[in-house]
Amino acid sequence: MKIQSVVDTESAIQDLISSCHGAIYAYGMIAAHVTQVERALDAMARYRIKRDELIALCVDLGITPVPARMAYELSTPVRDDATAKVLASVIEESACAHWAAALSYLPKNVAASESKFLQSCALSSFKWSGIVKAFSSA
Amino acid sequence: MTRYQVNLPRRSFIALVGGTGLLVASGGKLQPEPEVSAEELGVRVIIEEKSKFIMAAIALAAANPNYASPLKIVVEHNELHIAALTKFATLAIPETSESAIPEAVSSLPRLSAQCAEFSASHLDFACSGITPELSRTLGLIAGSEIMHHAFLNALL
Repeated sequence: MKIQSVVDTESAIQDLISSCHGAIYAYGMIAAHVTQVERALDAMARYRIKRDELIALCVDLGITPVPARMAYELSTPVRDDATAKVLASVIEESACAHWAAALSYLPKNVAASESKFLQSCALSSFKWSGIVKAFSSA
Repeated sequence: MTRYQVNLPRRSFIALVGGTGLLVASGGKLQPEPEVSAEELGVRVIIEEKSKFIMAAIALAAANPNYASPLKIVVEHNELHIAALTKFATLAIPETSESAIPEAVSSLPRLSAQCAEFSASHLDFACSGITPELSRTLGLIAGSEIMHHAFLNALL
């Protein structure tokens, strides 16, 4: 999922919510193909919790959160366990890039917890693929 | 060998000779350093820390060839991080100094811990009201650093 134009607090939060919607959808597809189903469902739950936190933040700030779409285009096709793991790693790497783009626009009181979420996405990407990257891309 | 080399520690001697050379070259008048913003200062500190880390990783790889391959990846990534950060430094970045050369070979757990420390500290800096582009770059670097931490930990 491409990073939307992030120029202020509202666009940063909306982009993170969109990223969560996309990740939740993708993990549904991943869970259907991967052998480590529990792990995929745990990851999906992580994004659901994050989405809900961000929606609550929107409410606090008087912003209408962006709704989820019916479907999302997957960045890589999913056919089996191996391709599902690739997609999971890509989803986490992409989330890392979304959170990195948002950091400077987020309210101070949430920036620290969002930093930790960025780290958890990077770790999750590594765990799915076993590959370390110099820079994550969306 | 001069008597100073005998009495002074090696680094102090080099600093003394270097300082003397600087004074001679400037005709006794040292030029004041140009003003450096807090943001740029932070970038320079990160580059210096990463340079030291790279030297420590190279020294460990030389001492333990089993770690050479994974450490090469981590070193290359850190070099890419430095290249990306250099774009945010308007003034020339000083060459890695003599003090950056590790006196003793570091350990893999120490390097791994350093990666995690870098990640946390660079995220703090990214959230400290700096320019969005530098913040984004640091966020991406911090993501890579926490991956390095997990990657090196997996070798232990």
